[in-house]
Amino acid sequence: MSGGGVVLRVASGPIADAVVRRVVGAVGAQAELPIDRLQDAGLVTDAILDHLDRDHVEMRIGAGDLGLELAVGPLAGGEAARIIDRSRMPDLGSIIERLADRVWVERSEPDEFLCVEVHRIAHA
Amino acid sequence: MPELTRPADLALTLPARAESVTVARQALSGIADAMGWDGTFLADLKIAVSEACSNVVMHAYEGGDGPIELTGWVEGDAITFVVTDRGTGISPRLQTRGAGLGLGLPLMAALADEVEVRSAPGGPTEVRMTFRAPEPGEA
Repeated sequence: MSGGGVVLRVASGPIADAVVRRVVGAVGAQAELPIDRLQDAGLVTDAILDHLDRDHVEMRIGAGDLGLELAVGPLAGGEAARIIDRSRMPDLGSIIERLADRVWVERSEPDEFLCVEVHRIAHA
Repeated sequence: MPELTRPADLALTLPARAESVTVARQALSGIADAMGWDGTFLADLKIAVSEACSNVVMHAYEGGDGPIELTGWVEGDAITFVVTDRGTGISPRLQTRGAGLGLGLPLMAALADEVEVRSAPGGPTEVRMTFRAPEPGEA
């Protein structure tokens, strides 16, 4: 992930939902995401927050060459895969993988980070 | 009503650039959404915190890179925000010419219920602002 992003840590719950969504929207606008992609980024963020089993949310949010970059964590080993799995919907698959252009897990022992990119132009 | 019950339950680190002030304001709006705050109180919060963040952007790093650190928490009916830089102290700012109207601190003092500025010589500066939330129905 590119450096120079926003690092956010907020208690889980209604405050995190509202703060993260707004901060993602602001940084997404700086990344020049069009409206539909901003909405996708918001849905991806909601899906991550819905399935994050922690008392706080910690993430880095940045504007990259292709669009918006998110890194959620540090997470415990296997937690990123669990978040992706829990976001699966019948016939659609994982909402996170469906809407984001790139999803991967970055490991930094003993932790890991769920990394997501939402590009200005959606993948086919 | 949800509460940020522990110190630094909101912690935001932003690059000290003008566009980061917008991000900080959006974070405040998010807290206000969740707490049910709006109108004058939210406007006061946003103006005062924006001023503190803008001071970091304009003065803390003399054109170089560095962070704005914004933390916030609620205790009872009060919310406290702390804006910190990693710059070299507040004293040189007073000698800076043409970098603003010098209204930032008086404005923060006017809008917040308590303001405290800590700046060690050659060290970081911390602006701590406490706002008392209005009672429901209070103007």
